[in-house]
Amino acid sequence: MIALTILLIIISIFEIKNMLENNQKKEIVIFVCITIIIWIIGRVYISDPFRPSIVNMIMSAFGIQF
Amino acid sequence: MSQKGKITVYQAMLLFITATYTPAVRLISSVTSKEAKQAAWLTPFISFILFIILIFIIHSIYRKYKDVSFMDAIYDIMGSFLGKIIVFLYLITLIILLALYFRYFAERLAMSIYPHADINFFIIVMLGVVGITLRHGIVNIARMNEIILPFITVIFILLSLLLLPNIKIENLTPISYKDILPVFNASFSVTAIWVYVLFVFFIGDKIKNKEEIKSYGIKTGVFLLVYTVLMIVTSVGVEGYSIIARAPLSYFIVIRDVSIFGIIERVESILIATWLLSDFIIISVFSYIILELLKSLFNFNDAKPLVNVFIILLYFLTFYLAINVFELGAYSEKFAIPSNVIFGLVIPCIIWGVGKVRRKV
Amino acid sequence: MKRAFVYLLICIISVSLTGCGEIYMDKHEINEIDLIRAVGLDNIGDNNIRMILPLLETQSTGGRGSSESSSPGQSRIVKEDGRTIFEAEVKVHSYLMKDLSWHHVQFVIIGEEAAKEDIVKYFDFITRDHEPRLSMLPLIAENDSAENIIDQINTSNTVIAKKLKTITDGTGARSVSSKLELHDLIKMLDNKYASSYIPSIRLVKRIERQGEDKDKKDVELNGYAIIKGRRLIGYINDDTARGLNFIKNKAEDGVIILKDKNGNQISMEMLGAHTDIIPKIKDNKLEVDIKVEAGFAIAEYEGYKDIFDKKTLDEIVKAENKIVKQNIDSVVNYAKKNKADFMGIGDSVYHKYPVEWDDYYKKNWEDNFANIKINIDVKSKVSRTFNLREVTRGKENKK
Repeated sequence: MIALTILLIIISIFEIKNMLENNQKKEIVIFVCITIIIWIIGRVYISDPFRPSIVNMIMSAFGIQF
Repeated sequence: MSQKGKITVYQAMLLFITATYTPAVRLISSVTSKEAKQAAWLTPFISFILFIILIFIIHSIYRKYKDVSFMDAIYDIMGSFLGKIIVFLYLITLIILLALYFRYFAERLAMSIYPHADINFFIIVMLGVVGITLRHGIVNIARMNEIILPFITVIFILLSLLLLPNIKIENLTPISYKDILPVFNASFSVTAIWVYVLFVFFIGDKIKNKEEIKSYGIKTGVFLLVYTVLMIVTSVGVEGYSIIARAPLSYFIVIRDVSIFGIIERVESILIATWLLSDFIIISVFSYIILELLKSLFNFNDAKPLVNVFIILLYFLTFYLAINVFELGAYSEKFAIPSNVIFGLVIPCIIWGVGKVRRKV
Repeated sequence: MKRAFVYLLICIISVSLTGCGEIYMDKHEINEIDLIRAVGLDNIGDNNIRMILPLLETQSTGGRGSSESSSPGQSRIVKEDGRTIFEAEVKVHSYLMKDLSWHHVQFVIIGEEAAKEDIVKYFDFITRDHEPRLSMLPLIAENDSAENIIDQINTSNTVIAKKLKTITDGTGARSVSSKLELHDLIKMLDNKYASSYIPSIRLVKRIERQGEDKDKKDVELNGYAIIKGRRLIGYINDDTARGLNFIKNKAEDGVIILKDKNGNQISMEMLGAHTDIIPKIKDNKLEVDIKVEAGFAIAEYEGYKDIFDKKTLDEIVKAENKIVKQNIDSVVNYAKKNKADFMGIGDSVYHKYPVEWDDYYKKNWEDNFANIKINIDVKSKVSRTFNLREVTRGKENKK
């Protein structure tokens, strides 16, 4: 989890620096939001890799059995 | 050949053909055999008709929307709000499909030749390669594919020739009127893969010569028809439908038994090489399309800043997608096939229909 | 500069990854592998399975195999019991100096007791695992266990896999058995309307050779084991097995012995045969015609008459036809008596009349099959003889 956080921070710093140079302020906001979503997904997975999977959730939602 | 930053329709179609190879080898023979049994080899003929309809729809749309991506056409035809919703649904579908192919890439290697290897290794290596490739744009991927596809085609033809002596006609017959419905039902699994041609046009703003969509589209359809029929005929003809229907790697087990005069044997390693190349292309192309979709949805000027974080997302999604290969298989057969047909064929038909009514197309 | 640095980094990473045993656990050096060429499986009771592996010693150059002292080229047998085949295999892995490789298994021998219990159970591991190939040849140990056959045949000088390869390659010589690949057997087993057949091997005593142990036995491929459902029900050998080969278009070679009017024997060498199974529906009743066309050559004649005139040749042809018909009759009667359609009659009906098969015939097929009229029609010809035609001193004896 710590490794993921550090990796995302390093990548964010690098990309935000490039976006600031190119004056892409709106993009920075959306980029940060996307990065936070990715962090959350990573956190959810790492906390319990044996939790019901995405496929399980989709198929249950549509009532598909296997 | 291509202008800076753009590829031709021909290159786009080649990308699509290479991208269909990996799911075709994995899925088509076994799913069609399960449903249509010995008549499985007839299923691509029905899918060919549906594919041509799709090509005509894409051609018709691009007659009016010459230099834009398919997303822009959707926004214009369906309106901005509904268009964004549709594009968002396509984005989610493609992200899940991409994670599916990524996971299948690693699981297939583990099922066939590296049963004790940690699939993390395969995933990280492929992520690294794809990450580097994405930064250089679709033109480089298309150029690389112009070498990869002929290699795959030659290998496929050679392997098919090696299998020809082992084909038994009784495994491919009898055909009667009772096979019509099973063949029709089974054809959806083939159609579900061939509709990926629509996804390629999500990067339509990077494709030029769109007036040639119909002509290259038909040629692509014929090529797909021939190679898919050949794949099913060789698989089912050699082993029989009852074995192929149960095999998660049907074409692989057929190739493993190739033996010509007791000298040419053990050739399955070259099949694995073709899988890997095709997996690389489909993952790269889908990743590129998803980044373009994100760029379109959020009005980015450039999708490059998203590459690295997208790679990390893909890593987690690949594992979170399914616990085991059985869930993957069930999802592919019971959900992904119908959803691909809906998103790849039904929705474009609706969009075209609305476009016709609103005189946009 | 940056590009050169990246290329150098890629080279260093590629080279260093070759030693990644933790990640790449399936990598084995060739001298650390024991190639399995044949495997025996027996039921030893109490739900336990015995796995018998005849292994060949290869050159030990050090590493894991360095403490063994056996000579290269010698064979040894490893046996292990387990509740399942996979458990037995894992146990073997735990103490064997080398890793087992199933990639090159050519033969799997199932003992009779195991085949009587449940043949499908013994094939599941072999068909499911990623290493074995479906082109291997399954065999049943007739009236014996796989362990006994392997013990008797696999000696320090004889490797059973080579022996089995010799006899399976030579099945055409007598045409009383044939090669059957595992995927063909699985297809037969998958068909719930048909029974299956598997080539069977047995131990025989050959004529003693000088210097050889008088109790030494050999192995021969003598016919087929018949599997109904998942269980062995019996065997067909010799002429009956040849009858099956005729029906399945596997009769390549072999000898048929006739007698002339004086009781002198004529050896007819079979040059090949072609059979068509033609189902037909006559007056709403299903009948099956088995039409055989065969060619023979006169290989040997112990009499003195000139048998090459038309009348005698016609009589020889009639006699050939009668014998071939008897061979096929015997296998048809066996199949009907046991209600086991292993000849593929049902499959032929399905191929010609798929709708009628689906609607009427497939229900209770094995019962219906026993009552079907099967007409056997054999047409053969005497194609040739070889170096000499008339018998030596034949003209003198005519006087």
